[in-house]
Amino acid sequence: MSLLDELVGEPEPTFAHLDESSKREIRRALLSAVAIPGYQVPFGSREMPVARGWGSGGLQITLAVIGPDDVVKVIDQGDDAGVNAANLRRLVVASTGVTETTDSREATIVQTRHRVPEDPMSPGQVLVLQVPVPEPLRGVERDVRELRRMHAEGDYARMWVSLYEDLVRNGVITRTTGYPCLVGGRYVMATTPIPRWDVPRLHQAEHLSLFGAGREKRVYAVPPHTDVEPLTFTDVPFEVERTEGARCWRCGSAASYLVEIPGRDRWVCSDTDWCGRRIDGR
Amino acid sequence: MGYVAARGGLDAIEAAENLVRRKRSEGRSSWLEQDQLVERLRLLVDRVMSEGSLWAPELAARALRQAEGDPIEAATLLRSHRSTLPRLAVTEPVSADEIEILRRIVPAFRTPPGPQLLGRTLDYVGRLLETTDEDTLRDRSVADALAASERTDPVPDRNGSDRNGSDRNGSEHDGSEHDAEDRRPRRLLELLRDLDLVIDRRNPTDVDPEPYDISRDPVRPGVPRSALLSVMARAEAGALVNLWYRNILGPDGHLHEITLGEVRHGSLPVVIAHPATGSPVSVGEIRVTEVEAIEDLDGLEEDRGRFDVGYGLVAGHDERKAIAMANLDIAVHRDGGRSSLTQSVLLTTDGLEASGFLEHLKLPHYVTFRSMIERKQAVRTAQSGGPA
Amino acid sequence: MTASTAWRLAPLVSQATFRTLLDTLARPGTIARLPEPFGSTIPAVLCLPLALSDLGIPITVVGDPDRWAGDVARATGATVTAPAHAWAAAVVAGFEPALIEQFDPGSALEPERGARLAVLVSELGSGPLSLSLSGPGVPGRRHLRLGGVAPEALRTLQSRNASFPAGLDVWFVTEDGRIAALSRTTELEVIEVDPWGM
Repeated sequence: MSLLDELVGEPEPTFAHLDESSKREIRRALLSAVAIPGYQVPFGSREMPVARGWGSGGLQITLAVIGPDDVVKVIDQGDDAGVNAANLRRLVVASTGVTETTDSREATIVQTRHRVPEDPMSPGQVLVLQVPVPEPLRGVERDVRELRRMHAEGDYARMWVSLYEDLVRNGVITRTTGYPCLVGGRYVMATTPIPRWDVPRLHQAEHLSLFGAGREKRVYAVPPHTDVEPLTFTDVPFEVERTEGARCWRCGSAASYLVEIPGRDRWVCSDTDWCGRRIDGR
Repeated sequence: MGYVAARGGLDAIEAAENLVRRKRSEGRSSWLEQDQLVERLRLLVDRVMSEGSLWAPELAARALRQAEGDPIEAATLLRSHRSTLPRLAVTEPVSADEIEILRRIVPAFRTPPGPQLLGRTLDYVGRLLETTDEDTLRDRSVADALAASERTDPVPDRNGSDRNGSDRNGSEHDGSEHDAEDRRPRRLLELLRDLDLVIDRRNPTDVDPEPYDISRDPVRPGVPRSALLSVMARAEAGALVNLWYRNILGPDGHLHEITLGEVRHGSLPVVIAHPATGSPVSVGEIRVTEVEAIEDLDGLEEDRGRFDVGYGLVAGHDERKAIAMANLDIAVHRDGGRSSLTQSVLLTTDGLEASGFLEHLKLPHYVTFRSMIERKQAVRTAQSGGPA
Repeated sequence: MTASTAWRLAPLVSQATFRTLLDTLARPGTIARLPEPFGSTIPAVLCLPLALSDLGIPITVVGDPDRWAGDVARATGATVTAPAHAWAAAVVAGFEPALIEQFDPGSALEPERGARLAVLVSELGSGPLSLSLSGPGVPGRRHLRLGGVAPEALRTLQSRNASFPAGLDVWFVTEDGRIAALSRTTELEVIEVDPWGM
């Protein structure tokens, strides 16, 4: 087909895998997200070389934001060595040539699944979170039109009722990870499945947090210095995950998010980089 | 130090990739050629193109081979590949009336305008597994291929493009005078319109809006019908069939069974405006399955003296999917957003999204699980009357 | 080489431009510098439509003496429209209440439809106006000095942004490529510094 060959012409070199048009679509959505903290901005999510549900949204954000001088860190459950993190990291590096790191202090972009790095992030850093389900009200409403109305009108009454019922039934609020928070005093946002431990790290932070849900085709954001307040009642304090007496068996910390090694009665830091540096004294 | 630890993940992935690559070619069978897949498993290749949303038989065959036969994985490879392709042009709209039929049936009438062309179908062949021995089957197939190449079977051809699977064996004439050569028969819908039996939903202002591009813009309830049809065209075939079935007989109950008007399988040209002259030129051909489904209107606020019609169009040969699509199209229209049907069709029928999300459960979730255990302990403490 | 081909930004330039727009919007009132060639061979105020718009995106250029709008459209595939329909606007001159009233702030259901404006100003970091800013992205309060913008324009902007989440997001740009942003969430107090003072 010579006409088709003519049309194809010279292939344009791409930076960061995505074509320019796709990047602009994501970028426009990100600007909306930053201007409207906590609001889920719909965007034309592209099919990526990772399956839907496996970080395609976070990947799109990273690829739209990243420049040749960025330094990228990718973690899953806080672990740089996680296989999915390793796969995402090599995709980013292969299509951009950027430097990769495991040190969260050196990275300019940290893409993460389910954790915020233990070290507070600085103004020059961007946190990109992978989101499986961006809708915090999913448990109280199924119809997407009604969900849109609730967010548009700031009508979160059903969410409060659900939390109250939870408290009455169980004596505590049983939300685990992805705790719903009020952002900028206006939007209720799903904090992805990050543990409650990490929620305070989003509040009035120095860094910008961007959230990507590729399958659901939405992005949202929390600018620096923005309120992120977990929904709870005035007489019910927000509780983070803590087990009395638990310490990381490698570095000794009790001040980081620990995960259990079952059957061995041992705990270890989920943030492997933070743990390793503590052991090394760095 | 940290980088060495991170190597572990990469090493694990690379080992897995090598294993898959080695195992793919294991055994004594020969290399699976693309044309074997395209010619012998054509319906599977068609399915991958349909769900991969890309007309490219050789690439679909390649994807199937790489995916070791998993159609969802193959469709994922195709869609991901499609994302990397530059967008060269937007085609000129082509009327479905231009479908050059390979097969066409009209269950609603005994003698519709144009032929009932049974074409290439297994519908009326007995469902008996062929138990003849392998060697005989192989010899028979070689003989058939030889006979076919010797037969002079003039196949009308356009623009030198390859016709895929044209087969005029099995055409059925029921004694009407309709020309079996009529490859673009008048569609039943036009007859129904002539008889004033169908409500006319054509836009009176004659303004034809641009179709919604679901590969570029997000989909949610409120999108126009073109988005709904696009979503269904690339949906997982099983998802549409199952959604249809549970709505006919199952707990949901938003659908009537339609009467089929047209079921067509045929080829359509791909036409663009020539970049230099601006005149329309065909650059290729695709095959589609098209269905028109006649719906009996019986609602209080509906025109009960007439029918309405649902439409289905899928890439390749997949009648099952196109029929489900046509029935869901008219059901969504009649439902008007009252039930959850529109949301179900728009947001839960994409095979790649459903499977991807389901299988993501295999990813590590130990941060969440630790959090859940902690809450279990908190609940038990609260239940025993201890401090919260 | 026509303006339109030169203005089709290389991928790394549009990335760096976007990053600057993102960082300044995330930290309203901080002043950054746009990457080359904005401020030298391409008018800095066009950074927004040139870096972000695309096929079919409605844009406008207001106070456009050299008819840049058409070149921007040709370089990006964007569609030139009136301010009321524009998603991205470059305001070269005429940043006044009457203009600001025309831009679409979006709605509660579709706040992302709100227009984004790049406004050419004569001074940034200095000038007769001092804006006292607070809100998301601002730790406590931040002050931004500005020149070449009428206080009434800023008050009109504030009133357009009173129905959050609908609103207009604005970047102030100098000819030499310095840039600062006001998000629709930014609360601002406009103080006129003594015009003859320092």
